[in-house]
Amino acid sequence: METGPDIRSALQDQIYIWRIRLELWWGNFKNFLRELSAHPLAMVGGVVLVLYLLSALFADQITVHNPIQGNLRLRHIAPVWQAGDWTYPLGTDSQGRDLLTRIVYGARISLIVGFLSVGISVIVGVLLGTLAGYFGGRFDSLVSRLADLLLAFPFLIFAIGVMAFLGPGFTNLILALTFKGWVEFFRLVRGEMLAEKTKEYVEAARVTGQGHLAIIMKEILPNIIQSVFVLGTLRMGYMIITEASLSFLGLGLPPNIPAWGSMVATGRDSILVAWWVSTFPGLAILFLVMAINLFGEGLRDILDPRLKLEG
Amino acid sequence: MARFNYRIITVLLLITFVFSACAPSTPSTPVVSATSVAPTAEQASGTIVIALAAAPVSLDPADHRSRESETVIRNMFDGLVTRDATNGVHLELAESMDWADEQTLNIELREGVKFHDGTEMTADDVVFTFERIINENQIEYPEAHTSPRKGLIAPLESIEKTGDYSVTMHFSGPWPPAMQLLVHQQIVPKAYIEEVGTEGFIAKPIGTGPFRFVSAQPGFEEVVLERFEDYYGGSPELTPVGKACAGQVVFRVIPEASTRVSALLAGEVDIITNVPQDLIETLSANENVQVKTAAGTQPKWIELNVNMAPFDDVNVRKALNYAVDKDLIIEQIYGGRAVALPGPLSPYNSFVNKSLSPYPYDTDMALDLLSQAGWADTDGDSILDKDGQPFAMTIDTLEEWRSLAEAVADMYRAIGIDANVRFWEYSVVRDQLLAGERQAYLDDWGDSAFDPVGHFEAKWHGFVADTPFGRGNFSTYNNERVNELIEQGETTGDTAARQAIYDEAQQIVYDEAPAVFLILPEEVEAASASITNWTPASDSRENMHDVCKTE
Repeated sequence: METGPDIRSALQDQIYIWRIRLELWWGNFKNFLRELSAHPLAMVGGVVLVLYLLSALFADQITVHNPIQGNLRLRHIAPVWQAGDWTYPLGTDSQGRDLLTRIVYGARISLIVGFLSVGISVIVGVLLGTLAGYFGGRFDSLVSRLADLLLAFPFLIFAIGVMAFLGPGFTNLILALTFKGWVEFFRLVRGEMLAEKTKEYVEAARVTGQGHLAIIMKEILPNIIQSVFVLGTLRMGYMIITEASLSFLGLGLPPNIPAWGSMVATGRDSILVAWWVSTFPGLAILFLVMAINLFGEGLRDILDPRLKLEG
Repeated sequence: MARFNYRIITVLLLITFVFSACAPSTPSTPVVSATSVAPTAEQASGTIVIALAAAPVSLDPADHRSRESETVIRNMFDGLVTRDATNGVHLELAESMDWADEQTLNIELREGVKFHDGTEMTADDVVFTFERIINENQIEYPEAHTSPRKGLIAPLESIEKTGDYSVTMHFSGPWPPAMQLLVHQQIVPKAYIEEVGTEGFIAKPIGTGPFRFVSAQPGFEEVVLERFEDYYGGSPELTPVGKACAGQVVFRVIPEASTRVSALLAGEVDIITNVPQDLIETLSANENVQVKTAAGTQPKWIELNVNMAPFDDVNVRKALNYAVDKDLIIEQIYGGRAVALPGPLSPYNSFVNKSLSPYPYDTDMALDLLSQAGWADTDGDSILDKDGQPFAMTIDTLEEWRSLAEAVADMYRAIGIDANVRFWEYSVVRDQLLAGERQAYLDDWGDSAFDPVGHFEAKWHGFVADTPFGRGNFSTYNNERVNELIEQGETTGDTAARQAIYDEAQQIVYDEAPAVFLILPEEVEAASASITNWTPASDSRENMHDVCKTE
């Protein structure tokens, strides 16, 4: 049997290819970090974002209190610098639950909602945008009109309407956010598609006999995916705010889930006696969305070639 | 440029969002003088602004079942009788009332009483008022329907005019709570309503009360009244008698409790209702504010669906009663301003069963009862289970009872019940409740008449469509004996016999526990220190006749 050496060499080839790829990626990443260091605000945003991500991931490990079970005897304990009690660093809410614990668990909700709603929007938007932009025709005009129609509604009001219709719940929330969220990605990808498909490198690919799928996947998409990435980051902050607004209005997640928006809402009645109950979840939203937006803008400067030309 | 805008907008949105809670309210409409109200010669005697928690639904005394509506209406309309802040009933538009027998009430009317359009009130108006309520489909706007207040005077069969200033009421049987319930019906002008119709009447209501209608915002977000100069003076038994003190009264709706408090502290409003418990201390500490309380009339409970597992087992229902630490709730959430319910009736009700006392807080007893019902933690996940099913329950309630509901859910989770809270709009959940589709519902049911009638038959009589019986029965409780007792109680005139009837009924309901009997909070209201002669009433009515504002 002579197959042994062949397999070994094929494997070695693969390892070699992957090593090159990894080196390229690592190089790109180092380049990216270097470029990022030229944008100090984006750096700060990135660091804060990573902190949020870590605390959301390890919420069970870094908190010592139960985010749901309250104790009335511990009601409205002030933050540590007022009450001097490190057991509840940011104080407790009106059910006697540790505020910091709930904020950390709230980060999990916000980030999951943000990633999931943007992720689904990207998939739907890119798919439809690619088809519409590349092939055009009746499908294009149909989806484009639908997108125009959806764009005519203000996002939050649209989401409120969808939630009021579907009722509270995680799946419904994601549905409400993505129902209109895909439109922006669709428009972006469709526009880029229209511009790219007439360029020489696409012509060249076509002349070499590549199929539509190969042209889209291997030639065009890699050229426009960075814009999608930038837009996705920027939209994520918006999705998180929308989720918080819906929760604030009682239209988001069920009340026992610690979402920042509903935490702000429930603290309103006691704002004069326990200012911290509303304020800290509000600040948590503020810092996360700020961080995402700063990071996203840095990304745009680095990744989006056209913007760099303008700059 | 676009990038810059984006960031700024995000930041601004967030800042607005975060700090909206802290910001003192800016009134949606500028202060009263800026609205279309023409200044009157009496402006000097002051405008009193009252913040209500919810908007009235109508200004037609015959077409609502809401306390906010009644609060506004009763400043514009007087009734045959009225009630003082401590539950005493006094003659108002009636000069005298005599029972000819247990079913016939002769009423002499006060003479010389003027409606706001200057016409005199006569027996015709009184007959018209009650016939408009008890007869079918008398209210023709927006579509023909029967007065929702008919249930409050259900035994009234007919009313006849016996003279220009006298009428006789005929009841279907003895009706002990007649006086307390007649307080809730106000006299309307026959000629005026016949001329302008219900639609015109709502647009510009006319009554005999101390204040006359000036203007209202759409949805009654704000209602402006001014002093009626030809007022007959009100009940002679309630001093001071005479015209109202304030020149103008404005009812403004501010749904948010903390906004109401901020508005009072900022001097934008003079009187606020439904003060949140958390803010009482803050308000009491402010020397420009007076806080007053009145005995509550809105007992709160969790009705358990007795036809739905696991609440079809009386042991489970009792266990849930034992598992709630009512004293802790009263102390922590209500700052001591509430009492534990001793059973299905408020402890202030005239016919409360004095031998009943609130279910004590006893988690051992609760767990014992639950294990008798077959619920125990067999798989060590600290959630009780039975036949492999965990004990899960959802407490349905309204947003305004959030703290209470979450506190109770916490206490249930502490003994191994997976309890959650869900918030609803009352109008949405009500039909589901009556259809027996919900599991547990936390809410209250007012008993401002301090009599079991209007309350007991609504909650604990089996549901009978199109009657007052069981119209608020959200536990689908239906006990033959209790039904029988309720019907007897409504038609028994003798007080001692009624007491015996209601004692038995309360004992049965207490033992069968179709609800977790929680608490009765006091009504807490606050006013600026410049307001004098103001007393919150137990029925949460704001009677502005006597109230003055010193400048």
